[in-house]
Amino acid sequence: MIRVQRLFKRFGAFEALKGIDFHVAAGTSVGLLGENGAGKTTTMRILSCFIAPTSGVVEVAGHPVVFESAAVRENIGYMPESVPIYGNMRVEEFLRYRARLKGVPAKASRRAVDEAISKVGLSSRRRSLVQVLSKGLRQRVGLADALVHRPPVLILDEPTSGLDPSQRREVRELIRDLRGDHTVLVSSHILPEIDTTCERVVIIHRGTVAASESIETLKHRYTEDRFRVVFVAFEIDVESLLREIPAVRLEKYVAAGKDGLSHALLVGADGGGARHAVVEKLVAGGVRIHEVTGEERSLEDAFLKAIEGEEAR
Amino acid sequence: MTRFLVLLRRELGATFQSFGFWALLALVAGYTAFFYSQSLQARGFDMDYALIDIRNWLFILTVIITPLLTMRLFAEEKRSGSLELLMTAPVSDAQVVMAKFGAAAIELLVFLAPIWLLHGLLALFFASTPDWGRLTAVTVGMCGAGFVFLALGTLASALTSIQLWAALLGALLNTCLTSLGVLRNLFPVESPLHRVFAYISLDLHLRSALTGIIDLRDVVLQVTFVALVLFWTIRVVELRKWK
Repeated sequence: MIRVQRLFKRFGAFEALKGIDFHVAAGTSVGLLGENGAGKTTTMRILSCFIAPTSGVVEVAGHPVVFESAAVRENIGYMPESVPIYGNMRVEEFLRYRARLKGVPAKASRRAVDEAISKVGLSSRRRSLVQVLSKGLRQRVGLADALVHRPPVLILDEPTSGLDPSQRREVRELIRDLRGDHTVLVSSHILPEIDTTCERVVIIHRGTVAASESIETLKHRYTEDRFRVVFVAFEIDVESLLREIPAVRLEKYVAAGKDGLSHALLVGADGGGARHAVVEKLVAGGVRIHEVTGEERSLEDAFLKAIEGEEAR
Repeated sequence: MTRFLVLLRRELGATFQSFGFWALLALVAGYTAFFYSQSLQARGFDMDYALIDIRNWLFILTVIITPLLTMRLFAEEKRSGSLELLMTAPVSDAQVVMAKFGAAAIELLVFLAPIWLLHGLLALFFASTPDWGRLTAVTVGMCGAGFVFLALGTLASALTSIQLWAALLGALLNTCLTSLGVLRNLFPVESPLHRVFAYISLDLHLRSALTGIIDLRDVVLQVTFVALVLFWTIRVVELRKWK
């Protein structure tokens, strides 16, 4: 649904994008990650046809952004980061105007606006002036605007920036609900959000793609497997046994307490292999294993590692 | 066409909902009425002579009002960031420019309307038959000049994100264009430059209209000016993509 190949963008002497490549399949949601100034907003602006690429192939819904810009814009719902909405319009009036501008026929526009308003939970504020709305509500108006003409592709630039935790959760759930019906490309600084709303991520670092893969693959590639082993051992030096295993690092060891259970926190480069080696070693040493549990891998760690890797290159 | 009309309606809505517009209109209409009544008294209530006086005021009014009508068109959209939202909707740059210019042109007509109203009321009051043809010619001339000024103002607004700068630049361009007729006097009558300045001088091309004659040459010049300046404006708006 979205195809980006060898995309370059220069602003004078500054090269904002240095040949990035990625694709977004139809019906999926992809997170665009990167530090400030990495090139996320530039990429989104190119995809939404607000600015043109210096070179490269960019296609949205099968249409190249440079040569079929109007067709691309008909197929996208774009929400810029600052949600610049006309303050002197009422929510309903603004959305009706936007629906008409996006080609929704006059008769259908009322229904389209009603649907968008109810989808983002703005029914009680439909007659409010945009300028009196809180930042969170304005974000929702921006989201309703992106949805009002039912576009197949949604491009959302920092949709939850400036929102409080409860508003953030609502927007997150909304984006999650949009998957399947729409192809969603969303950028955010809040990584747990991307973790829960997207299937894949594209990490941009200083104008290049540092990683482009599924979140799970990314986590496995860039983070270590941290796991906890709970066991029972009598007169066995388990700590030494664990230290003997190559490719496994013992982070913490807690000797048996009143319940007779000892704990070890271990870190292995490869999840399955490390855990298997630990279990094998302990069982061979006569240790009775009570439990092996893996700790949640964080996208944040994976993101930072991916960036570090890109910088080291 | 539908999208153009949607944009036009939104532009007009934004203006007609603003207090500033109505306050300015009231001020202008009030002063025009005052000026007209003074002129009528001085001319012994001869409406045709009074019209000769008021046409100069209308021209000054057009030069002053047009930058105020156009200053926010693009500058405000740029300042607030809403240009990004507007230009990522499926509308062409030309549609946006034409709709904004069209809205400003309608607003200018609203400013010129009070003179017709005054003329009509006074005709009714004095039970006389004014020279409607001359008033029409004057209005057409004012609209022609006004549309050129509006096009320049639209261009000025597209060049900046600060409304004040847009207004000042618009006023400066208007003044320059109006002064071209004066520049011709710097050159001998037989000089080609004298003729060039005379051809492109907006004030010289208003003279026929002010005397009650609609000269097609004037109209062609004004339409050409408007088309050329709006074309540049579209290019300036497009420039954001490539900068």
